[in-house]
Amino acid sequence: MAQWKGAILFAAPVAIAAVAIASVAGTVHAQEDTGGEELFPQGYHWLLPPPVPLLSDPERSWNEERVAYGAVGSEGTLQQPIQYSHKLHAGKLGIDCQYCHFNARRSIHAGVPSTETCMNCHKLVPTEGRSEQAQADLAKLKEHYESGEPIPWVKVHDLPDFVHFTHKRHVQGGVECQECHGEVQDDMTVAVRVGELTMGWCLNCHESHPKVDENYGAHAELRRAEMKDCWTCHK
Amino acid sequence: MQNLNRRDFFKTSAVTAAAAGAVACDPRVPKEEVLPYKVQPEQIVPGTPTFFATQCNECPASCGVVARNREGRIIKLEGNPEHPVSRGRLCAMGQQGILATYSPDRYAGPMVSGASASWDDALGKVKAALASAKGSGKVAWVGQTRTGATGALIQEFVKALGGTVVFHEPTSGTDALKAATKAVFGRDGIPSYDLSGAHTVLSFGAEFLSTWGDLSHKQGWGDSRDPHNGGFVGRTVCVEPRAGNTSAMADLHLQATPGSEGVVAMALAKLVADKKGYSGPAKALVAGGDVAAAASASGISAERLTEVAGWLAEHPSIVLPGGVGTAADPTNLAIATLLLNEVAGNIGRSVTFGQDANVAHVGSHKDVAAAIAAAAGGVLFLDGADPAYTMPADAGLSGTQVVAFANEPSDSISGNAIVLPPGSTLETWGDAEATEGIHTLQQATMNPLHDTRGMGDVLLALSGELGLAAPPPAPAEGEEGAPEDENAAAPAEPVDGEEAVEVVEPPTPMPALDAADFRTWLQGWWKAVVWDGRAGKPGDFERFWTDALQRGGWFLRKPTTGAAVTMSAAPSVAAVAHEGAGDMNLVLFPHPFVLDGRHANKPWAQEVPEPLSSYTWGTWVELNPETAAKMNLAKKDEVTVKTDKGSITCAWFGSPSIRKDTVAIVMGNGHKDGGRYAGFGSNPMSLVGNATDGSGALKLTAKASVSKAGSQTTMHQYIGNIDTDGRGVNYVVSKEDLGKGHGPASIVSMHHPPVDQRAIDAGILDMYPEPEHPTYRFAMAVDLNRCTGCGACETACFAENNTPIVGPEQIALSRHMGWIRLSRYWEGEGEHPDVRFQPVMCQQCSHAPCEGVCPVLATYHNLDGLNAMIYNRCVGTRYCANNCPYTARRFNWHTYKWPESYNLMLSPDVLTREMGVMEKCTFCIQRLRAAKDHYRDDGRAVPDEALRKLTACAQTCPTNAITFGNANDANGAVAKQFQDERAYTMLGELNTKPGVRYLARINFIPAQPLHHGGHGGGGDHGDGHGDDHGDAHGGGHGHDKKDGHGDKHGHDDKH
Repeated sequence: MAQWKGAILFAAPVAIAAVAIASVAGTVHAQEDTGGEELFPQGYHWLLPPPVPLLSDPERSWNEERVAYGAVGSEGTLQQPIQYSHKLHAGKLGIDCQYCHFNARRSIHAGVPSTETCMNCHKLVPTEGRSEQAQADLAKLKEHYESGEPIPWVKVHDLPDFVHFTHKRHVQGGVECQECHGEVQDDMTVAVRVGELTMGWCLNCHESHPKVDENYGAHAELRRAEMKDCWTCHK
Repeated sequence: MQNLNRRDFFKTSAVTAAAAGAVACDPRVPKEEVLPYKVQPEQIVPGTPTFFATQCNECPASCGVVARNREGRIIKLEGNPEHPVSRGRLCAMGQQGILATYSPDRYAGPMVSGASASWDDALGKVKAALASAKGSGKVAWVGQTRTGATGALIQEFVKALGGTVVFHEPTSGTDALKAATKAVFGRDGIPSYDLSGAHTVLSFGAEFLSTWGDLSHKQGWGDSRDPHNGGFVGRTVCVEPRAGNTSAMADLHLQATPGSEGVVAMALAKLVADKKGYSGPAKALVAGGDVAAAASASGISAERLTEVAGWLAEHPSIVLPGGVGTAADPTNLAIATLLLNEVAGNIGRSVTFGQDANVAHVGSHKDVAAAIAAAAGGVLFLDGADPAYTMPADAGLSGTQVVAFANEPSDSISGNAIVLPPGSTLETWGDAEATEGIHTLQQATMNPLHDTRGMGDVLLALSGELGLAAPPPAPAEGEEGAPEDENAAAPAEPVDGEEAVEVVEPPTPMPALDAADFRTWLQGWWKAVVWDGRAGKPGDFERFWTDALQRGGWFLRKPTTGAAVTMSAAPSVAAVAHEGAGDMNLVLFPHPFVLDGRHANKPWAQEVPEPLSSYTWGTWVELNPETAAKMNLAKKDEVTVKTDKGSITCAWFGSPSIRKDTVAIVMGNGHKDGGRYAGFGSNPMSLVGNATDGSGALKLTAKASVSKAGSQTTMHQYIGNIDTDGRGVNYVVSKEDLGKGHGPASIVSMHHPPVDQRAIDAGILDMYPEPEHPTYRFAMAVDLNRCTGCGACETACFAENNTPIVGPEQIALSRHMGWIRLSRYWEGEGEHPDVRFQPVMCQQCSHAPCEGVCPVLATYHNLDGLNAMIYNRCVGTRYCANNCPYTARRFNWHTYKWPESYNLMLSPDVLTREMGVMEKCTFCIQRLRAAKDHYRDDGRAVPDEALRKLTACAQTCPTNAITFGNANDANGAVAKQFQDERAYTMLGELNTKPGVRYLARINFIPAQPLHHGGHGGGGDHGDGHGDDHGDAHGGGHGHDKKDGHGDKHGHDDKH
């Protein structure tokens, strides 16, 4: 509670200042009258403090703070519309990752399978005798398939917009899905994020992944240097 | 904040509440959804682009384009390499085409009298209006040029209603040329002009490097300039009172008195005929050419005319007709140019018939006015035309039911007009046959964004409801050739004869107006005319259709021929004075990007600076700086141009390449109701009258008086300075010096700094260590001899790199965000000041001054030789921009936003930058990455062929001036160009070792007397004394031709 007080004491003046600046900015904005609709829209006219760090949970440690995007570990499990289990599909049934995520080897996005891909099997798989949750989920799946409404999956691995990641190169280079996504087939009922997805975490592999030696042999050193180029991921 | 009033208090409270609300959910997890398809479309791989061949409808040339589709949206257009006109290139207007689809001003659905309506209502009203106007002759169609099946449908539809169709291309000059061709050769259609083999290109105002003709003219001209292509360097001569891109690139710009161009052409024809001993049918026609009279009327000396005639007679040449800037007597001028071509022996060689431009229904000004008048009280269809804007006086639309096929507002849509939005080019089906036999197919490449119906579908629906379809079988065969000028049926016969097995098969019937929808019509027409008629039934039609779709059309190369002169009486070409009151001659010229005004609502057309004046967003007048000086004009003063018909007040630009007694005004801006971006500036059509010449072509000229308005302009030139100020940025070489060089930069004088010999001896010439480029050294060569300053590269860069539109106010603060700057300099004085264009992008220096000063290492040199810029690392100190000698960097002063629906065309491969971040040309790193990724699949490096046209600017360059590649690859195109004797680096004395090299422009100014034995000329600049010849460049000393003949440099007699 004491921490909360501290946070509020810190946050309140900054927030007030921000609001004040925003209102000034608003006034300036209003003067640029371009006939109701703004002709050349711009974002902030004044630097405003970014809201997230200011209002974030003060109980979070600095160690966690560096993870700006997404939840790490099981406590950050996201609520998915359907309780899909990787453990069941990829583990117990042994379906290959790329059966569903079939773009992983040929595009930047691995792709979330189309509803039709699910129904390829689920048209035939009986629902009787399954748990209540499973039955409800499968009913939902069928509903989505019939209505054509996409299933609103929540992104678990969400990279910031300034990072360009390509599945294709990683998959073709022989990096296992599990190296980044965790042992989904063993312990994940609903996918949670295991990798930190921070820059240091990416660079760990870019500096020393054994596949580089395997794939590039004599040129491995050069390839590693190329892979540390900022423009590899940021552009 | 004492003046915080109640409303503001509530506003701020709301912000606080919203912020408080944000605490409630876990900010560590920004919740984003990922939505799968129901059924994965076969053609779409998320994250990977799909390409569709389609066509461009931005001008009548109808080039083939390839549309890049990402996740269902087109994000970029590029030229279709298979298309014989565009040959993989695209001009600035073509690059802008994508904006029409995503325009925020698009109609969401049909409109009736300014209010939204349902399709049933709108079509019901059109039907009612047509039902009463039908057959009374009170139906007219005025639109942009439509050919092929689309054009045929329009013709059939309007014919069935008893109306007339006129295609309106106010600035193309087609109407005059068409009338002239008819007069001289007795032929319908206009000839094709092939510039590639011409040693001398003579243009009487045809802006073939920007707004006249199509991409093949630009490419042909580029080829004629290339000393490695045919072993000659074409000489360009322009007769025009002002300089647009074409006259700017001319080797000789003759500023004839406006209105005297016709007699100049006739005099030249006489001279050439005499010189060549021409004895053909045109001998009598050109006999009236009078050199002395032409010289006195035009102000061009008789010696000069004789010299030009000599060039024309000596080698293969080409003469291009008049343009908008020389439209005092357009048809007679066009006749004179055709006769000049005839006597110079160009007809059948560079000026050919047989594959004519399809201009059958392009009407003159008079035709358009007549069509509109005929429709008074009836129904006027408008399709991409805006007569209320483009006609000089009142277009006379009131009292007529206007039915507009328009996606965006225009001046002509007012009152009770009915708008039937047809959807954009990218959303709909269509085709074109801009040049005979070159059938381009337009396929729908994305889903419509709005409630639109294709124009063809609407026409067919209307004809169904009005019962317009003729009784089926009889007219089908008879009309086969009708839309095609009876050429369609002709080739079918010999083909049928060849295929002896199938002789009994009747010809495929033409589609009728009772076709179910436009696609049926389109396929039916293609089946009858293209597949059966011209292609001679190559296999199965379905297969043919799929192939055509894939290739972007079906392209026939017909043999070209000459034509016999059938004209009998000599034309009455005379010098025509501009009409009206005033001491100045007024000429208008189309904006190179906005054209006649049809692209005014495309922000790139406005934001990319006009190449010559560098003005953005508005209308300006061109004046000679001397004229302006007499009027005491300061840079920001506005001027008033007044004619008999009206007056406008706007900014001025001092162009040294315009006559002192002439004022030129750019067309295309100042729409009353043309969308949010189209209202800047004023419409100069209010200054000229309705006067037409004998063939009905509009005389876009007048006498005018110009005065200082007393007000100040808010318009801003992106690049105000027109002078290099003697800096070593832009060189030219004399043609005479070609081939005398010995390695790179051996002709061009580099601006050599004084060098300390001790530093060279100690090997410490450079401040920076030499970077390593183990695999690639990405580099670019820009051939200034081919660059026409057309602005296509700048526009392509906007499209490729999500460059924001900042608007005139920000540009006035020098906050333009385009990554390529098109510098243009005027050098030299006198008869023909030399205009030089130079596209300047980030030079990707090996020793980059920007890198060392970045405190956070946001910019650095990478292994590929690129000067990388990492946006999310940048803290916005702007030290790098301050330290860049090329001014290649741009700073984001704001987080620029894209208005709704422009955001849909953003490329997901490129980050949109935010406030406080520096950005610059990346050599299209996303395209480079994609290419590397593609070739890494096979484990190889990107080959030279794939790199040559890799960046967006190189890809689109209409004249192939930009070449991209790997400088490490000695056999690569760029490495070869780097070894060219004309290659130099900009501001070479700074030793930044750029990855961009320019190839100096070649001119025909005689070389100076040589100072040194063997090579090059004298020293170059004021500091010539300090030159040290032992430097790394291998002793390259030419001479700077900037003063042409001057000899102001210091001597250097070490040699």
